[in-house]
Amino acid sequence: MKSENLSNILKKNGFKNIELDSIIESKHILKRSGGNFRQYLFSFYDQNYTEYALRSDLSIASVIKFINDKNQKKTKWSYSGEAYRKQNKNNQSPVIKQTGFEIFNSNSKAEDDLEVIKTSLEIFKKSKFKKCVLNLSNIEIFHVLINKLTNLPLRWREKIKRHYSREVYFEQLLKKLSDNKDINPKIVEQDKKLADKFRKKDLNTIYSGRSLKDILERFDLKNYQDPRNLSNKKSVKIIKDFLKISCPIEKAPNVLNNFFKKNNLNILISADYFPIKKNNIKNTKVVFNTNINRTVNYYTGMTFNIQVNLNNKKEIFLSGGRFDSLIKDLGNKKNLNAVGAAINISIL
Amino acid sequence: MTKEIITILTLSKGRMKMQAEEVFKKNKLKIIQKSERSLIGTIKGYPMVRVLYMNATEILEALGKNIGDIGISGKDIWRESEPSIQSKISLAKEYNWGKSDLVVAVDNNWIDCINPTDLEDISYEFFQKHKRLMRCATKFRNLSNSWFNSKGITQYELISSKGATEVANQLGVADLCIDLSSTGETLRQNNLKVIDTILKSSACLFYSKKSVKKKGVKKIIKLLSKD
Repeated sequence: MKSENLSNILKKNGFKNIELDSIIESKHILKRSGGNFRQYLFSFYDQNYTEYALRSDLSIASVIKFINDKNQKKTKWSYSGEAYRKQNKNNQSPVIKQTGFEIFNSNSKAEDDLEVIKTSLEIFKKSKFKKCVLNLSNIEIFHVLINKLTNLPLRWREKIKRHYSREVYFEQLLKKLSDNKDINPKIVEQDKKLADKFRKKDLNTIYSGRSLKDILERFDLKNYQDPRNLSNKKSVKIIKDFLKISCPIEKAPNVLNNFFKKNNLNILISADYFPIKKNNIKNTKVVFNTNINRTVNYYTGMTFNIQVNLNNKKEIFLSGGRFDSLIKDLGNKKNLNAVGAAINISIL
Repeated sequence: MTKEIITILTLSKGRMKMQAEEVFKKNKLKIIQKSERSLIGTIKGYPMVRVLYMNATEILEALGKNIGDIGISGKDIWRESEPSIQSKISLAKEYNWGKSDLVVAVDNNWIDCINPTDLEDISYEFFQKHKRLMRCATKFRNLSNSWFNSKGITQYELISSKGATEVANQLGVADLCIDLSSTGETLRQNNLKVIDTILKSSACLFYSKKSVKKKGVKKIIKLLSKD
């Protein structure tokens, strides 16, 4: 597929091509991705000791541009260029080509979700591939499920939601939840006595960056029930079973509602929840799959990907989703809606 | 095999210098120096061997660049070194001295923090309540990054520390620290508690992978491997 064809499709659908800044203040990237990400950044300091980095992800670069433009209207942008990341393996290039398109700050989430998916399918149709699978999911459903597992301590529920995007660690967390051994009842008793002593002190006292109030609040929140109990194991099984759900899109509401009913969870999903409800797109199989796009940590709602067969291997042609908290996380005062997708240029 | 000079790199300062010299002595390798302050020596009866006294970090860098053939340094420094250096060095022997643990230590008053899982929660608390990353003082950036990564902690910032890492939290420079601890006394004195041990370190005998082809190197490694 020629890059002009791609730009024409995006232009035709109202996405304005923009140039992104090549360097970004490191704090924006680290705030979102954490200190661990620093090892992948090509970063440097200016004369005022402000740390900058070569852009490591074009989505983040586009959000920062959107914030800096102070544009409060609905905005449709597309971009294409290179992102730069240090690689652990010698044969991997530090230059990553990315092309994406995004809709910022709109009032109708459902319409925008559908528009991004339709544009993605149009791009697929103009490519060399004949057939595809369109996988759809929604992280909100996963969050609702976790919130309903009230047998799990609150901090564990929050932890599981936080680490959904880090598959390996997520599995470790579930394992730990089933057979955690690091709670020593003796130490817990000692700490409880210490906590009672602390409650008599000035709660505004700061200990290594944390107030005594925060420390005690979290101490009280921590549930010292034995995490190996049966209800936790049952909850872990529900989570694992949920992440195995994959079915044709028209069956998704039924499959999900039956799953929740079977597990005595008071959750009801209506067909309106899905941007595409029927399997009537030519050469495209539309599937609801709870376990897709797990590597992106800023998705907050609908996510999707287009999967193709390349040399008998399943490859992701394009993936995208909704990221409603990223704009605020990266420094905007207001929380603004956003949805977008990125194309896997390497297989085009 | 070629007959070339074999260079042994050993520690130049402190208690570990003496303990390293003890290893030579025990194995009947007598180091001859022109003066006590000289940083170059030879070994009696081994005309093709020279001994250089260096700093522990420099020893590993020199082995990595194949400037030296055999060296004594710390396991912590080896594991902290860049992959390009680590991949060129092999560990021959872990000695029973120069022992210390690389530990993650937090304020004793953090009674809600007893393990890395707690720390992960707390890192989010810093982000949500103070709009900043949790700060960790350390000299060991690489080992710290991989530990944080293995424990699922992403919301942190490393603060480089050249010394007195244990007081960084009291000074308000950092919120926790990752540092070496031998007896735990310094940590206790500074009101810190250990929530995890990253690495159990000791003095080790290393050699440059390229040097094994040199005549006599294997023999010296074997001799110095006897504790």
